[in-house]
Amino acid sequence: MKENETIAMDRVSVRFTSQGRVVPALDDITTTFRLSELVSVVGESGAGKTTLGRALLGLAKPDSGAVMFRGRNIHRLGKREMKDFRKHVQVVFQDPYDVMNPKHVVLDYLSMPLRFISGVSSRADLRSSCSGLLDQVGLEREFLSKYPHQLSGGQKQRIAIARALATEPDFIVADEPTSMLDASAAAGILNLLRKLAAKRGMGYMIITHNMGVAAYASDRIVVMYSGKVVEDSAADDIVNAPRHPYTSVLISHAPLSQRSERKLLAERDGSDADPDATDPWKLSGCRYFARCPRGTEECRKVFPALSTVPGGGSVACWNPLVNDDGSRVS
Amino acid sequence: MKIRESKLERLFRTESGTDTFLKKLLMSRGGMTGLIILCALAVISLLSSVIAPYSPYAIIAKPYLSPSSVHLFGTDGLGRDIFSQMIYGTSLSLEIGFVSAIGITTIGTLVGIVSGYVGSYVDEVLMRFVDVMLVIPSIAFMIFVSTIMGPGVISVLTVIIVFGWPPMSRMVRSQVLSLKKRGFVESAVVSNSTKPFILFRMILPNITSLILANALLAVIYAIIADASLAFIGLASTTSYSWGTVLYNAQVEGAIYHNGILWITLPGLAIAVTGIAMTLLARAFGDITDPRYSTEGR
Amino acid sequence: MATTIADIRGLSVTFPSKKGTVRAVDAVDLSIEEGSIFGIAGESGCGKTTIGLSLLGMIREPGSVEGTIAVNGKDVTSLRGEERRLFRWKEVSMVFQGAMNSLNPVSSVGEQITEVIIDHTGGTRKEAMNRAADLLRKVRLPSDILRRYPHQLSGGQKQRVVIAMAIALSPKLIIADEPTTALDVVSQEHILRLLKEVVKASGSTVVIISHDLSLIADMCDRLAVMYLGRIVESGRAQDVLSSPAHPYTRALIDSNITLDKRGKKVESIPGYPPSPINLPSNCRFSGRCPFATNECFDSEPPASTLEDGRVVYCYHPRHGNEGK
Repeated sequence: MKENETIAMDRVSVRFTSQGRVVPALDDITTTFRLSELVSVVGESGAGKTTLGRALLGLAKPDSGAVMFRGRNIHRLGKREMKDFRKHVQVVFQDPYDVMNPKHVVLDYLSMPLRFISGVSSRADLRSSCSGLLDQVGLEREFLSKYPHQLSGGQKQRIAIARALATEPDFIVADEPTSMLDASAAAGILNLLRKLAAKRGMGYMIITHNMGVAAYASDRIVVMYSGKVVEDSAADDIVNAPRHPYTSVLISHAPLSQRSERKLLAERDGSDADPDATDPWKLSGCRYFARCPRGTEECRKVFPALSTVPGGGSVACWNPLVNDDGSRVS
Repeated sequence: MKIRESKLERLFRTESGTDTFLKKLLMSRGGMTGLIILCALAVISLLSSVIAPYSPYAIIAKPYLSPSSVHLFGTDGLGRDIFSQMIYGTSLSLEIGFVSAIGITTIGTLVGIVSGYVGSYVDEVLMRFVDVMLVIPSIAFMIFVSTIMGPGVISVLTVIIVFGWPPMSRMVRSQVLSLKKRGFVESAVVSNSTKPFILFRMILPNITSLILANALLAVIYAIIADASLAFIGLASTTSYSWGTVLYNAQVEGAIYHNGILWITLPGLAIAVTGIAMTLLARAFGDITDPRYSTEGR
Repeated sequence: MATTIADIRGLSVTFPSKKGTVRAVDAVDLSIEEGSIFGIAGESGCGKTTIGLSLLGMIREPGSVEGTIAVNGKDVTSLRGEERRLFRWKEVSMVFQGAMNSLNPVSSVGEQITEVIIDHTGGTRKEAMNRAADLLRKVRLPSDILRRYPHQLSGGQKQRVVIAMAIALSPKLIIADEPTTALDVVSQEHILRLLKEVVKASGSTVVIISHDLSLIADMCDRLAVMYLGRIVESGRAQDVLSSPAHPYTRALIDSNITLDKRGKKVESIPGYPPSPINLPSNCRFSGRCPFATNECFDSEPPASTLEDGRVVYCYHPRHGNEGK
């Protein structure tokens, strides 16, 4: 039964006011995540991927639309229902260096969800549960009495994951779990998440700007641009045959093991103009139009809706890079 | 063997190191100097009856004597010993300083925390009120209030506290707001922590040192405010603070009688106290997180 | 033959701490050719940033520097006061880690760039302003950015401004410490491409310090891999990255998550580096090395030079490549 449970976003929009302008961080997003799913949300900074995660967790309140879990809008839950939701859905925040109170030790940190969600109260029980959690993330129990400044970034991130695991959740949202870490520590963290997911039948959502991380850790990839989902498909399809021109840019920018001159010689996203300077909010049509080498008059005028393609997955593009019969556009 | 830290030490634990707060304070030159001055002042005020050769009220010599070995700072118009007045004044000035600081800090912290943490309309109402308090010309209003209440220590304290807390609450509020966005507070939120837990275990410990540093500055603010009120004749004339000495010096035309010392002494004492408080507050700030002032993620 | 722009001999940098002396950099030799892009790679805490700061003469008390650092023929360690101030920016400049936050929030971009120019070269404000506009063109920013303040710019734009400042006085050497870590992949590439272009155009030498091997692979001609204050392998970037000789380099490359690793298992390096206090006298990587033998645990391996000119400090170089 658990495998089929979902969190669904129904026409969710979140708006922020920035420098006097209203900017939609999430613009009319409708999508469903199975709790057992290994999914990544990919996009550059400002694409709205962090807001998507926060809306899903009940931390960013939608201006319109609903996030549904077990038939209830999670932004309208009472105290007890919220506690139940937090038990099932947990989070690992982006910045491991800021995730622990500088005045608390690891035991204090890991005790929070046990005390406030699982209802563990005796010191002995807390201590033994917390050492169990440390064990799951590959750290010795000596870490219980350490302060954050005594830990490396990778160790802090492991401890953040341990906190998220405390309630034995079904789904974990991890916002850029590796972006602040060294390569080796990053690999350790992703391997840990994969291992835990396989062992416990848990799903996760990894929010990242790095297509390499997404491809390594997930089965499904959601690509976001300017608050919109532009492509949502199986990871294999995204990596091997991206449909949206933006997806292909992210793929071509993803790190490869071997030295590759092509990346620095050829500009493939069609914009020699500074991408930071283009303002997608002024456009009525496709947000990606200003940077897209395949843009047409239609793209400029009308935003392409996210629509399903044969063979699974969906894309929001008038001129996708893969034809409906599966052949690639040259 | 590891010695367990006391609760107090843990509260003051700094982000950068494992040294206890006190040790770090003693190691910093400024903090040490401030602490020595403060201790000296405390000793003077505690032992004022022993140190002062005469009662501040007793008429013991001719009026307007110049400083001499018998009367270190000379005598006033009634023939009372100015040195003894200064010694007794230390006691009252420090009392006013610390009592006001406690009042200012308590109200300021409370309002700041409630405003920053609860947010929405509560924040709106409280901060508009603070804005109003901040634009009222405080000295003028102080004069008004103490005229109504009549001169005396109680009215001085009331006036100082009423006008002292608003800036403090602003500062606390902005700290609470920036802490609310920090990852560790959000971690507590998604762990379903209770509001008191977040407030007392997450937010408060991270602003304690900042509040204390500002409380020290409030002490000197209060002493100066007391002196200002005294100078314009609104303090109690029956008990001696440095402000009272200054007031007497002014109304009795000290400069024409026994030189500049009488009128400069209270100012000097206030300045020295001010330096001590500032040094201590600075040391507090440096020892605890130096990023406090700039953090806003 | 290219000339050497920066030459480091026997550099050790130590910092006192309560638990003992931290040797952040330990007996490092390094020489960097003029006009090249040189990479220094390694995990955090390996001493790569400290080397960058040493090249700028920016190791502050209570840190202490031993050995010699020559940049453009000048002995950096003997520079003092005004001389040292002018040396920075004009001869060596730096793009810091998280440099986008190093801009002054209360002055405009134009003021900040012209201040550096006027301070070091004199001249009028007008000349400096023209030069600043010219620099912004070079980093492909519109000239109206000059009037804007840092908070009005995106991360990528700020990083471009910082690069413009770094090249403002045409320094011989630019040190870029994790120049793109805070940016997302697309902006990263724009910045890197820009850095490469700018270097080619000006003939400056660039040292890129990063933990990201794919970045170094794309950018650098030569590289040095550091571990716990020591260089473990150095040579041409292509050689080192395509056939690493030191097991640590191999492990670092293998642990890098890249697009082509989908469906494979990426191994992280087991364990943690030992403390930089009381450094071991054996091979520093021995405790985490899968190929370590008794020899490795007993004494520190000497430098050996491979046929392609690479220098590697290992008793069993290339061990990890067999069968790959």
